[in-house]
Amino acid sequence: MTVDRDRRHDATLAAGIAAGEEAQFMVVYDRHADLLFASVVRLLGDRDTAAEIVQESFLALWRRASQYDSRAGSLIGWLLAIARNRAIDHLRAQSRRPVLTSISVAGDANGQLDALDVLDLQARRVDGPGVAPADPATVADRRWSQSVVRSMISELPETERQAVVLAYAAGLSQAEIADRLGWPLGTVKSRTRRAMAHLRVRLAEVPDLVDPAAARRRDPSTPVADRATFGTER
Amino acid sequence: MNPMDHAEAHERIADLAIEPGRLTALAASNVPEEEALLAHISGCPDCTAEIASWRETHDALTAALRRPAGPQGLEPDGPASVEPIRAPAGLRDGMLAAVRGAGIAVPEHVAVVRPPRRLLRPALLGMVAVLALVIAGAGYRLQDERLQAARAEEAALGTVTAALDRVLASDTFEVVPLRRPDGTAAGSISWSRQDIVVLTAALEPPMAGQEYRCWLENEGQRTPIGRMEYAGDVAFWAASLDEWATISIGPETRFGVSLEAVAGSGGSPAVLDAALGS
Repeated sequence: MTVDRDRRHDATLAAGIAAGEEAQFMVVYDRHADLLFASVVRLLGDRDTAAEIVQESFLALWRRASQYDSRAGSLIGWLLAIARNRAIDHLRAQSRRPVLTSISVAGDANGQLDALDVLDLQARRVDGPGVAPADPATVADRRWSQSVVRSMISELPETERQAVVLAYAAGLSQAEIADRLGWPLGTVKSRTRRAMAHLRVRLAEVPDLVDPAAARRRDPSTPVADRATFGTER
Repeated sequence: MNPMDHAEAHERIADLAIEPGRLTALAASNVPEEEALLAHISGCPDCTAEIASWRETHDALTAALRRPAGPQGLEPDGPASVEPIRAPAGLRDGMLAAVRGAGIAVPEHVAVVRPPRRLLRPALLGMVAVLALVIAGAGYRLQDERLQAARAEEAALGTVTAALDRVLASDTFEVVPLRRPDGTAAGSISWSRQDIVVLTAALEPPMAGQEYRCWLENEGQRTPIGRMEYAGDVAFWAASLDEWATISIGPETRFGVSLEAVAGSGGSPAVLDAALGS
């Protein structure tokens, strides 16, 4: 986990950035760049493009910091929203031209899949067979949320990360985790508890990832009139 | 069953939160201690909110870490990969260089005004040009502060013009009238999927210590989204997709402007509003 010794609040730093303070901009960069980069890499699987998107996102902050209003949401939520839009734009651009893929399932007439098809297939694998395929925007949103949450988990100390992954990915109980890792049960509980408390705070900074109402509005089964008419997709 | 006090309930909720699914299964539990917790929660909004928050965390983790039903290795990253990924060290230097090259924080869309193609745009561009001429002509007699303020107004008007240009040039856009409380029209709100522009000449500039705030209201809940700015007598607010990306509009969503104390928490009656879903 990155140690951030600067205790100034993001909103204070954003005000400094709006006034052209490079040093404050770099504090914000150091604080949030890893989460942004990791989230985009997990979505796109491409470090070079992720680096470009992170740079563009922070440049947008530099240019528009005066428009940031902390009452409307956290700065990391704002940065993630910018990165998300650019990453999904990149996927859409990719989807307009075929990409090589190693997945041996039916694609287009040439047996190829575009980037959004790949996301759709991944989602169907997760949802399981027989589940109706979601529309590409929903799939992209879901994958983005997964990428951000996994990146938040990756910020945890290794021992806390292990406990969370074994509980949520492997479905083990606290006692089973203790047995698997050879830790006392109390240690497992305290590490899991610390990790969950950290993740809860982190997730609260990005309410769109956990807001069921927002998720419902993006759900393709929701009537079109109930969905966002602007702002959530290009 | 002994009643459970608030501190004990919070402690118990945190204990349950570390086991995936325990909070979800709480309602059906017949464990005495959990029944006591349920009894406490039923009369405690704070604990109810606490549980809802933990459930959201639980749902987000479950969605992020569940494994696909099919074979592994589909994603380049691996479906449950949570290994740390750090931004490349060189990116930081590149970032600093890019920022120095970008100069001070100037709204980036000022430079992308396109030739006017609709009636509204020439009018706005004319306003920018007039303001620029005023600044040029008055350059010698204006004090520094006034000159800077005029330049800021010019830049702001350029920003709103560019945003409106993008809205009107997009394939699909909406324009809805802003209305006073008595129902009379007093400006407009225009938006596309990329931009939103609010324009009105009906707002007197706020007194010192006050500001006009913009908000969205859904089911009685207001979400602040910005504050009105001024260029001459025109009050405006413009935002691009990046700022709007986490805000959703439904059929009942209402946009409003209210006059608030700068340090206040908001909630004053709307002085202008618009039904966005109509």
